[in-house]
Amino acid sequence: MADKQFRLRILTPERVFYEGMADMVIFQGVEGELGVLPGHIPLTTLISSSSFHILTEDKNKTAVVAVHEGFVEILPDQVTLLTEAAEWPEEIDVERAERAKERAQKRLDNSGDGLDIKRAQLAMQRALTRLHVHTYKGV
Amino acid sequence: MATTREIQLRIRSIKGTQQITRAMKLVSTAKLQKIRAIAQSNTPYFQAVYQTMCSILALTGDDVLNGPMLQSGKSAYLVITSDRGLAGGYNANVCKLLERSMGSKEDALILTVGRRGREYFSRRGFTLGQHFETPAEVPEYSGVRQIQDAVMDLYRSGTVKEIYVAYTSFQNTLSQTATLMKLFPLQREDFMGGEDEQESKHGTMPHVLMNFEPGPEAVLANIIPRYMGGILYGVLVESSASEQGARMTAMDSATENAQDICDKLTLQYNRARQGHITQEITEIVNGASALEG
Repeated sequence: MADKQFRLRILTPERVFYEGMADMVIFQGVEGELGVLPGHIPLTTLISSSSFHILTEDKNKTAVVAVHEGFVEILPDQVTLLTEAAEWPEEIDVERAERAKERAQKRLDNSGDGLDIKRAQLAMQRALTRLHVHTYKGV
Repeated sequence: MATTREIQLRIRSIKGTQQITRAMKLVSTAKLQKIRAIAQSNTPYFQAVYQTMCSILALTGDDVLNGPMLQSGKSAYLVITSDRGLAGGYNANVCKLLERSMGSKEDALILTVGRRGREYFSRRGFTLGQHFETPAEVPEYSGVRQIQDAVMDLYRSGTVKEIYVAYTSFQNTLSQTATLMKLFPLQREDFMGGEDEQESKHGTMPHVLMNFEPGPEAVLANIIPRYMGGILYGVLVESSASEQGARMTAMDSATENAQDICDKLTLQYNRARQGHITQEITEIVNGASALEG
């Protein structure tokens, strides 16, 4: 059996968002929700805009991060999340997310061609994730 | 010889210019420091994306890499320049490099970031494509998205056979080189060579049998735009750093030149003043001797 913890890295184009040890991560993959413990089989999976939970036992807390589209590379002793944007709950601009939600809703209502719909859906998803993570109070 | 008054006026005006160039240099220096830090923190992300692409390509066939492969047709060029001048040869070098290295004018489609590049190529009658807002001094990734989408759409729609980006790569503060880089089509070889290097860097990465969800092709299709975004972001950051570096150097030499001119003029001014005094004394002496006589 591998160690009790694994190395977690969250990388965005603009910065190294998080780097440290973790006991478990839970996130929303495109194929469904996924919980990763140390010693997981090697897996690369796409991730949709969602909340990303980091469980660290020693500090006895769960950290929630809003992540927006990317992919996760899982190795037995290391998890790397590559995402275009990641935000801590306190970094989220709620008003902006609300506005983005309304905008996306409007665009979904006035249905355009296929590509626009897809982009609006993604925008909607991002806004909802932000709002969800911001109001998240723990498990 | 100019009168002392005229020389004084010139000195004052040059000192004013010198103050401006010195301030611009300081501003560029500060901005350069900021953007350098960003350029460094971008690297881990990009390396990881690149590495994943390598490992997927080792598993998949050729056809997943590119959409329609065209043998002929237009080539698109993305030119990255700034909105503002006074940065030495920064803008001109990129434009000239691109103009030199492209095949025929008729087959080129120019996409631009930055007003200077657009003006340059529209004056010379090139076919212009989309224009993108210049990112701030420290580019944000959200701004890249727009360019990334446009480039991907352009290539996937099959209107162009290849896409290049012309930008200024940042070597160090004193030297920046205009560079032309191929974005599409992606070449498999580009990802094969780098793998050994990557592995030696990350000693903890043995050959593992990676699983992909939903599947290698789907993951790759998702990663390519990200890879492109990573490249474009890097290119914008480097260009921005180069712009600041070029402006810093240009303004530094402008400040020095202004100092040289000032020194010369001060010497001239002192000579003129001395000449004036000597003349006055001579006049007084002459006047006195005339009275005595």
